[in-house]
Amino acid sequence: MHVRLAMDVYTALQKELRRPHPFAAERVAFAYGRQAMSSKKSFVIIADFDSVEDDDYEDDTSVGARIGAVAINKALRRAAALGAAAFHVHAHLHSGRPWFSKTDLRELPPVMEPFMHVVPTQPRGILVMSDDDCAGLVWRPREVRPVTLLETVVVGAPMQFLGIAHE
Amino acid sequence: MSSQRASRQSFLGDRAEWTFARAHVAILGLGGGGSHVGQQLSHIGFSQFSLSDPDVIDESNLNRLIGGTLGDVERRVPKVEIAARLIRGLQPEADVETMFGHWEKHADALCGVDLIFGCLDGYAARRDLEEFARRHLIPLIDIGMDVHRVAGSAPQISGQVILSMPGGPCMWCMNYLNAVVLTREAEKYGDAGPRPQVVWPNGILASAAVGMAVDLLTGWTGRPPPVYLELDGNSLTLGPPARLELYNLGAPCLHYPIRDVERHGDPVFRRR
Repeated sequence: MHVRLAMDVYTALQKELRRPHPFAAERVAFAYGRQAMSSKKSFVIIADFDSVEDDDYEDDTSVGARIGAVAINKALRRAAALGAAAFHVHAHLHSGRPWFSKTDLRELPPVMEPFMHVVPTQPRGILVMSDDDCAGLVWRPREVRPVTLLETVVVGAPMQFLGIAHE
Repeated sequence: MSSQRASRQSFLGDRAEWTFARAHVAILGLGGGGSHVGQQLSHIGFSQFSLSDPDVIDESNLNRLIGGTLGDVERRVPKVEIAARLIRGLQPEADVETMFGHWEKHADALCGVDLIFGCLDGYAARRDLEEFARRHLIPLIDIGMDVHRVAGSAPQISGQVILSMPGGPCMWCMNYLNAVVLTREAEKYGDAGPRPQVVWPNGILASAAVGMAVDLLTGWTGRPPPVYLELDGNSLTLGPPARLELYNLGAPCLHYPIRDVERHGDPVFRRR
């Protein structure tokens, strides 16, 4: 599974995830896109994202950021309205290949599970971005086991090819 | 670390060789323009190609089709196979997918490519290809040339290289596409006759297109590639059209909004 997004969207998303929050240590966004299937690979074109509003975070010092049901419901409604693939996105502030923490892997998949029922024809996933790379897990439509995101292509000048396909 | 083969182009950056091998390019139209593009990309080190063209070579192509031979004419070899042979002669390990037919029939294969060279004839064909490329967030580099006959003066060779970059100005923003040229073309449909084509303007345009692609993939110049170059084939000059300053190309493209989710990816049917 691959992801493709425009440089403007990638840059805006990276900037948003680094904006300080009044109490949470990390920020979260929901990105939306549409699936495209070629004869050789399937990918999602991410076209837009929504920031989680400041008031929709819960004050929980045991995790970098915890978002509440209000934020998730907003994202579900937006995905449904667009008929879109949806991704939970957060950042780890370092360079190089990022990966999810144990807490991420325990807590984030259940956040995205309802999206399978709201837009069953599109993938859903979780992404983690570092300063210069991106990794993720993606659930194909109607599938309960995720696949690893192989590559993220940032379409701009210059083009950027990120991900584990390039190790 | 660059290979001996790439040693003379090491100024393109440490990752250039890797990027050229990684990037999957499509060349749509393997005639006078596209055949040049395939040859140059192979020299540079590109090795993943999807090639589409609906025609076989005929004698009238020999004045400009790079790689075409008299033997190919006798055997009526598809242009995509001539291009593939040329590429494999330079890059034996290249992954070359040939699609004999109009590109629309092979859209499933094309939506996964990283860059498209559009070497098609006609405005409607360009409109359709740009729509496809924008939907799938693929940069499109369009080239084309023409010869205009004006009574009382020498024939005028003209041409263009256009970079249609997702998020950037499209061919409509640049007024290369508009209702007037599309209507005029539709009215002449089936009545165009063979259009004059020669090898050297195609070579100039293809070289500029390949230069744009290399810059787009490596960023070696440190600035964005030009989006529109116009050829005056009589004076042999290539540069931005003066009229481009009239258009507000720094504004977001309203024809293909980059953040409109529903205009990207495979079309879906939805009940409302």
